[in-house]
Amino acid sequence: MDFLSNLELGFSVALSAHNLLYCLIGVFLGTAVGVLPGLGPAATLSLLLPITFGMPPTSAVIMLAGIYYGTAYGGSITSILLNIPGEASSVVTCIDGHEMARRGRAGPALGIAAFGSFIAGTIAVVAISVVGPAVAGMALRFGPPEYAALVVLGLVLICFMSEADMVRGLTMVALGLLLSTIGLDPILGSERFTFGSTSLADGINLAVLAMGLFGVAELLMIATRPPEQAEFLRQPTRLRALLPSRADWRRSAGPIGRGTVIGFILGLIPGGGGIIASFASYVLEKRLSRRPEEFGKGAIEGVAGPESANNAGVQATFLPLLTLGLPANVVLAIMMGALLVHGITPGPRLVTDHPELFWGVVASMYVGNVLLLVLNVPLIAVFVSMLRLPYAILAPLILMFCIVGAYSLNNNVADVYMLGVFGLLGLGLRLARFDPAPLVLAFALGQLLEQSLRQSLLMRQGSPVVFLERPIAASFLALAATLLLAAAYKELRRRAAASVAGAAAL
Amino acid sequence: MARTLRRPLVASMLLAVGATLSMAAARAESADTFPSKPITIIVNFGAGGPTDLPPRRIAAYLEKKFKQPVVVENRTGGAGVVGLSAVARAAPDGYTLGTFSASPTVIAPRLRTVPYNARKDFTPVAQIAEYAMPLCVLPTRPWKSVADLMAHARANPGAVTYSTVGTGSGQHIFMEALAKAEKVKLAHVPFSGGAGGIAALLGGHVQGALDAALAKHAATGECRALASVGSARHPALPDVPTFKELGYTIDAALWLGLAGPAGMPQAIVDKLSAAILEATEDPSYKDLLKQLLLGDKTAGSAAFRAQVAADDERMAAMMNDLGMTAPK
Repeated sequence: MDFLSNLELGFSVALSAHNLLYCLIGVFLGTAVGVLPGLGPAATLSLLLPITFGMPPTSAVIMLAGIYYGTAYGGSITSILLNIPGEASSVVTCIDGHEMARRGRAGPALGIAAFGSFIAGTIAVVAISVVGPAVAGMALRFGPPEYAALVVLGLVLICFMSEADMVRGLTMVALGLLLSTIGLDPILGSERFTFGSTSLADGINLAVLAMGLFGVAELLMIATRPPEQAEFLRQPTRLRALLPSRADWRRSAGPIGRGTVIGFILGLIPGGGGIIASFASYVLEKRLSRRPEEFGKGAIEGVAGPESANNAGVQATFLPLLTLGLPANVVLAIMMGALLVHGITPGPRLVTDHPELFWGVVASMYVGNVLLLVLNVPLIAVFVSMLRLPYAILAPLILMFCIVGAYSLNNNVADVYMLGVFGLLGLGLRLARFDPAPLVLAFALGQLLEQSLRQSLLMRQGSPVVFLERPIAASFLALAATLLLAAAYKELRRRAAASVAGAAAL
Repeated sequence: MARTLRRPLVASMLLAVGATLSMAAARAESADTFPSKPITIIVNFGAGGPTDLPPRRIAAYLEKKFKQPVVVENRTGGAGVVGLSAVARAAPDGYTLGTFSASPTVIAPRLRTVPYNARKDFTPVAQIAEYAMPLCVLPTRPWKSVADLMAHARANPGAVTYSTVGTGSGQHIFMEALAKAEKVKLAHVPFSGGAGGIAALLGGHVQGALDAALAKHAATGECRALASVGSARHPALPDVPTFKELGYTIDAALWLGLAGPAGMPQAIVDKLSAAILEATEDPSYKDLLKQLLLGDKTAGSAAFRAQVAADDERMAAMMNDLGMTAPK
């Protein structure tokens, strides 16, 4: 009963005319930012932060939140149509989404991404409002050993993902881990591989790396290919072309459900969120699928699962922020700043001290998800038409957005140079048929792995026992070990079978 | 056919690169009657934090007073070094100021190479706030005071772990100085950025933590503040003693101020300093500091410069003493 009256309070706040308008502005801006590669939610929010100072705090957070989860919707559009992730968390969507588009199924790919995001987003919001504070407490049980074990499990899963050509996949993982060691040593603070450059002291920015390897490299590919093959993919212009078929729905239902659960849980962990969630979902779907060979060749599960996980993850990150005052990433840290300006300290007392804010924001997320679906499905054609320009105009425009995006991360020109370097590296990798996705993921996880591994050892005076005496960490490691053993067993059996077959042939 | 189509594409892409880079390189130039054009305040940390919001509030005040736009620009990176380098390189005409705090100025240069000298390359204009940091433990732990915690550390060498925002941070140096003064060994577990270290304390993964943002958790009883670092008691924790009150004489450089490049005309420094101090007297500014858990301590140009110089020397001695110097 209490829950219903809270929700009623929330909706009365969220549905007031001006809050509805702020929500609409937020999700619209978010979608646009998501579509434009390079310009990310963090840059947008910090640009808009001063505007919110004059707004009521609830409206400010409603709008900023709308931008944040709006980007999760928009990021998939460029991934599918251009193979350029609009956001780092849409990297996985490129793999099968773009492949679907190349096979003439851009419509259903865009459609399932929007519907999957809607379903996952809505379920995540319901979960936030029902289990709220109780679940947030769980996130605190993740200390350094749990993070380290989770990353080990994640790295094992990436090796699985690249099983088609494990050597190439592992090479990319290794390169990603090596790149992640550039910058300040996370424990001692000494510089590593920086060659005295202040810009390298912070390490390589993940967004620059992803934009260079995926975005700039793709544009360079287009520039090197003969134009008749380099045509941008035909986009669906009719609403009906966007609707997934019944068969598509049957294949996507499971991935959407599982993606939602994975995304929600990973979103609760500080430092987790969209990127890890979408990769985890992709790997899981590929494992569970009866048609794993279709992954990478346009499997709709590979779009539905990760997009749902990404969205659920993004929405779930609000829970630790609003109930514990812990921002999971830089975007939420900026939102926390917006609250602080208005004299509201996010934390355990927020729900009781400012119920209209907490429940208003939660209710606005229900509203925002509906708005996004309504906006996205008919307007995909509009967003897409931005991309229908001749590519002699479009490609430089996208490149410019990538450059502006890289520059706006830190207002540092060095990031633009790095974007160019990674663009060339990405072109080289692509020509040599290496997949940059494992590199980017290993890079993202590498920093977390090194830091949490070394923190764990510090906590226990250097003893690795720390991983075995903690149930959550130990079970992650056990799962990772089981997966490795299973893979090794399978490989050995395959070799045995091959040698038996070889012997029989003799 | 293929060739003719491809060439304009490559050319236009090159053009786009050129255009964007030249836009980034464009910069403002000097003037005579101050201020006759927009002033830029470079904040060397991200938008929305305790280092960002006070200068933003001051910028809004200056804008009204001077009838000139005052732009706040976040230039992050290198734990504050990137933004400060930009300030050091700017023209000393009063149109470029930057946030000035201890870690990138009097601490970082002792641990690694930075492209400026904190004493020679800046003109301190005004101190606008003071960082205040409580040392906290979980309420479920038996330690009620700093002495309890130190006694536990003495009995169990290396078993007491504490988290901070990072190696070489002011928090880390303070804790190591405390350990040295108490002749105990504490194990430092550094996190990059604040939230991780706070979560580690609240989740019970480390025994103690020294962090400005912990004050709000201490105020709600989620953790127990044993003492706080600051020149006065913490505004949100009036019952918690300062380390000074407990008899510790450990120095900590806690100022947050605004500074310009070296060589600014004294008349402009005075004009800016007076206007900034006026802004800090505004009741809404004082409220903001309270919200951000910052101490209300301000100083004019001369006093701020003296404070920076004194802390620079103290930090040098302290870090030398702790063996915290750049690996040669």
